Amino acid sequence: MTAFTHLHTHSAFSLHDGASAVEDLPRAARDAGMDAVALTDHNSLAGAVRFYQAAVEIGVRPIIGVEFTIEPVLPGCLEDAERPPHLLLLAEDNEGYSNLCRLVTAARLGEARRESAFSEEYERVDRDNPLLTQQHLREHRGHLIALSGCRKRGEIPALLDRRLFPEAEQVAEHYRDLFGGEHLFIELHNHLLPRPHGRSRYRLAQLAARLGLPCVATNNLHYIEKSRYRLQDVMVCMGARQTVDEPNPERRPNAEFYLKTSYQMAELFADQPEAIANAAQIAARCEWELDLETFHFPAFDMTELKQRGESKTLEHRASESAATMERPHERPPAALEHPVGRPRAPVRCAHHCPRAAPRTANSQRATIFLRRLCEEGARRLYGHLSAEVRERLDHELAIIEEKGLVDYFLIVWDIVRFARERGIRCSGRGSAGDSLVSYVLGITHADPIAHDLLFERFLNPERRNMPDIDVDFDSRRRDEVTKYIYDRYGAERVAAVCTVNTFRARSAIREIGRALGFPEEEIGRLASVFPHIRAGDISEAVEKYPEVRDARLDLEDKRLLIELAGEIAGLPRHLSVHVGGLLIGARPLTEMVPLELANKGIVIAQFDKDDVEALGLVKMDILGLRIHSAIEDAADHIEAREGRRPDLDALPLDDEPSYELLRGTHTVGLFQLESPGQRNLLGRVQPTDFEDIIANISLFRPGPVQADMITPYIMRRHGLQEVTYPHPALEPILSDTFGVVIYQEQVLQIAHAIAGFSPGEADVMRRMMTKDITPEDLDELQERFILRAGERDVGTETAQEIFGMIRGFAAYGFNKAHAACFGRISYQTAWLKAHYPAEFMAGILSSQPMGFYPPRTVAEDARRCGCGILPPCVNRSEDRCLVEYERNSVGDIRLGLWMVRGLQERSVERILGERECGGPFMSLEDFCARTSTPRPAVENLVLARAFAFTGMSVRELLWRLGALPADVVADRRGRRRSPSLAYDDADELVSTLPALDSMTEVGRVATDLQILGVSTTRNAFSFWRERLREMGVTPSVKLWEREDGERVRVAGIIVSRARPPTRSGRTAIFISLEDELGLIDVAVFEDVYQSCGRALYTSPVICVEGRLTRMGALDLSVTAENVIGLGSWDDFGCAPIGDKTLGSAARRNEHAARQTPARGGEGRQIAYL
Amino acid sequence: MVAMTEATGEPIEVTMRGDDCPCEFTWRERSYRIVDTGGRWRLLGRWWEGDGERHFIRVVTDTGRCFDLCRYASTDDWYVYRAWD
Repeated sequence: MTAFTHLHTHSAFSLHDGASAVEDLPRAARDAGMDAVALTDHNSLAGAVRFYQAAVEIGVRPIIGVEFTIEPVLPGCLEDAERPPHLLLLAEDNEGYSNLCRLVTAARLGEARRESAFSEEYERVDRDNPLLTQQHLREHRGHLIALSGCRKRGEIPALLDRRLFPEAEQVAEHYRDLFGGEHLFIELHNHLLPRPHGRSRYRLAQLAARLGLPCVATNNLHYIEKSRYRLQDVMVCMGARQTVDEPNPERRPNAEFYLKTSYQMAELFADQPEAIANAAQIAARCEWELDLETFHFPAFDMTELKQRGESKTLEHRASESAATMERPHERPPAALEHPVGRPRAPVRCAHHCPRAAPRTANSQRATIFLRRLCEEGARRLYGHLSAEVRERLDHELAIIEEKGLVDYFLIVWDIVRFARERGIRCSGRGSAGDSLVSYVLGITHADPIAHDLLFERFLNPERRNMPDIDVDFDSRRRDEVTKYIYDRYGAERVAAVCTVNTFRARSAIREIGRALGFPEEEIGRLASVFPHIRAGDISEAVEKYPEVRDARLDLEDKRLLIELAGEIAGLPRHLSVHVGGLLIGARPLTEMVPLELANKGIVIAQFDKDDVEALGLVKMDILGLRIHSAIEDAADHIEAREGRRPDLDALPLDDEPSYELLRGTHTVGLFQLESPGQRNLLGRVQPTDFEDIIANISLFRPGPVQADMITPYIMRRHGLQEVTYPHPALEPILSDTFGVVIYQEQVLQIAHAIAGFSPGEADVMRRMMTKDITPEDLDELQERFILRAGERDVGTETAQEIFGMIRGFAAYGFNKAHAACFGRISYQTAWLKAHYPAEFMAGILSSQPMGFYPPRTVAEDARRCGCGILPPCVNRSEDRCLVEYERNSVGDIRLGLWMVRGLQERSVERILGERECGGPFMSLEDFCARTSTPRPAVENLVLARAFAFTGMSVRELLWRLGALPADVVADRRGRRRSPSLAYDDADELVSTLPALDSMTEVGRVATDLQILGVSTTRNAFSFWRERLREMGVTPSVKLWEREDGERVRVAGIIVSRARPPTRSGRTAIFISLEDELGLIDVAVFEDVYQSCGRALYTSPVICVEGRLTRMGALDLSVTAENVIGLGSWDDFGCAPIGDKTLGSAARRNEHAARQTPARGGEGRQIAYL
Repeated sequence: MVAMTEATGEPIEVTMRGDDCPCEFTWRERSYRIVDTGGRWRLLGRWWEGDGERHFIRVVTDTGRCFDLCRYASTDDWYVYRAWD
């Protein structure tokens, strides 16, 4: 039997048309006895890298192709203009793969692909309907083999099906002329369809014979296992937004589109054996190899820097030095690639030197330039170049140069320089902080020498790792930075990395449920019950989670829905923009990366971060950090008040009021230090210096929490446990952390001090310990450690003990550099809150959603700091919050217009512009007439009391607004009718006002929460006061008078809920409750969660009975024994929306907490209102 | 051109040769020997309502009459889908 190869296959990356994971394809082909298989998704190569890796791993030869949607050759003969034809292209070799990348990009971006970022051209791109033009195909048709496509959508078979024989021949001739007779195959299918479709392969074969073209059999597979036909059919319906009961020509009439064996295929084509043989022949012709061995660095273009006349002196010096080595080209090529070999075998402690980058004049100049920049920076920061600094710089620069990373550093430096020049706040994060070069270039802000940070943790000469320099920018201005990068390197060389969004429980239930025809409300109800879990865990969740179990779902008629949701779990749903990852290519990216357009007109690679890393493309993370916006705002307010801006980057690190604030755990709003757990830890640690802040940030991580490193640290810190060191050499390394290993850097230092490992070797060892290591490898590692320690006269037992100690901590230790970088920001926020609470909290409120708490809680905290919260005012408010000092020397926060629900950015701009040009607004009518703000938004402004200056009550104003005609007030879309009466007349119209009651206090608070997200009068919870007193509830402030272990009842609104992973795997939920006077931390463990879980997730206000835990002077929490739901706003007969908001905010908050990676980030984001 | 005479849906007994090749069947109390087979095709119905896959085969019998026979893949039950003149 002739071997067969599947050449036309769709994975789930053919979004809505493929029902199997791309990773499963090669294995399935191998199990069916094939040694090669192709992947040909619709207009996409997004699965290419995963497919390649999976195939190579199991020894199946991967073939790559794309089924394009293409401009018809004969547009006049197209049956349905909405459904242009398909053409399948396979890459014959790597050049063919590059052409596929170019063609996918061309089909996706059209002419816009050459435009720089944020160009209007992108708005014209039809993202949902990519189309390859014949012109683009002609430009990049080389090294490709074309197949005529599927029976329905291939232009040739579709014409034949309609018996348009001459036209079909004409199209075939067109492609034969384009590709050559050797490179065009007429594709034959046998999907066991009824006549006449079942006969189409014979007509195609006749046409091929007439034109002398070869035929090839394919199975156009859309799923691997036959059983997946249901999911595939549903996915097509989902894509068309139809239900399964509606007809759709794209749906397939049977279940034959699966991966058939060679035998099955041979049987189906028993009368056309040459078509089977040709499939194997084409497969043999396709040689595609992805280079996973070479790193591709971006190249820094010094010429442009020079042309722009920036950093002239530095560049001048650099070129002078370079000239002595080699005369550079008049204009060095803008793009140079530095390939550096990556060894295939995993490198252990043995010294490895990657292939050196080719030394060009440009790279030499860049190296010298980088050195100069570093020296200048070091002089600026340290005053002079000490021997220590010089030595460390030399060491780091040598490694950077050896790894070919000079350009990479220069690019980051250039981006940071741009941001700083524009006043865009930024800071590096992560292990880049271990590098002095990063510090002196201004990329990171924590001094690596002062904090004992080790360069090898960042960049290890002994490993083939690539550095990751992540830089956070003021999130409001991040786009300016990315635009600069696009402009600087050109549209063809810059793209964002994508994120592959997969189906999760809720999205799967919603979309599949809709396709199966369930009513919208029923789906909504079902979906909302499930927490944010994987779609595959739905069945399990029904048993496991009390909030699902106790919802008593009727799942009898939803078996199919839940089965299909399980099947779709983890399959890609769509591609979106990765939060920060940017690719900057040394050459046009489309040589190896397909591009497409994501939301907001951002060009993304069809590859995600893992794909990109596998390809050796070095990315950089340009992230937006809202805390930077908040800090900038606070600095603006301080400058407005005092006439000078505080230099936050130069704050001395010994400000006592700041540490007092931390010790008192009044840290709502502080970066990385505000979560309930962190506040608890601050209370126990009682920080007194910056190292304590670093330790706090490092300790409050899942690893250290699970390994319980916190208790010994705190005991020893407070002198309750003796600090001991197994060996005196450890004392200088561990004395700062009282003998506890907290940081990864300490692991490296210990291995160096005890066993004489080089920092690079030590880092390799640390990484091995972090990963799942086999007992044999561990033994070997330990033996080597003990042997090397022995050479330095450390006894075997001691060495063993130390090895065990670092083995235990290596997995959990935190990167100190990252904590130090974040700690700087934490300290700045602490300083601001300690000295300028109103200005700082105004900044935090303006930057929502961010941090751990909803704005309501932030506002309550501001009130506790002595700041009033003032409602927005159309005549006083800006877009962001302001601080007013007329009534209060601390400052009152005047809420910004941005906080008014439903008021769009455009409207805010118009209001502010009009106020500036035409002066303050005189009345509601004046405001409406001048700003054309849509009526619903004006209504919200009225409800938010933004017209209080008129002296009229909210109800009166609403009455007037309702009476104003459509030529005064704009409609929902902001359009006004042409004026029919003079503005003055309007006043008459509203003169017939009846007497209106004023709003109740409860109504006021509920309305505030609904419209603004914060209360401007009193704490929402105060309305529960009476009821709670009756219930014997202890207010948060009174808890301090109770004893450890005492039974208490507390109550509050849930402001945050976190369910971190635990060592035992049992549930532990940490809740922050807010009552009228403060926050209460509550811990709920498995048993109580199982019995009371539903109340936790459905009632926004709860009462908790439990035992008080007090540790130390400031640490206090309640361990729940019972949780009672206390109802909602409904009980007060008002504002159900306010209630819903409270509940959903808490739920979203929990979702955010689950999403937050352990390594930190911007903390837990809360979407609120 | 042949005219379709009956679309029946009547269950039948079929004798198989090998796994999937019918050689004889009984319809309306009369036995037919299959002398030739034509096209085979497969269709899915409203699977979401429980319809299973159906396999069809066109056969010519010893009487010279042409039938489209159908088998439910899940149950192996056969019926005459169409009897041609």
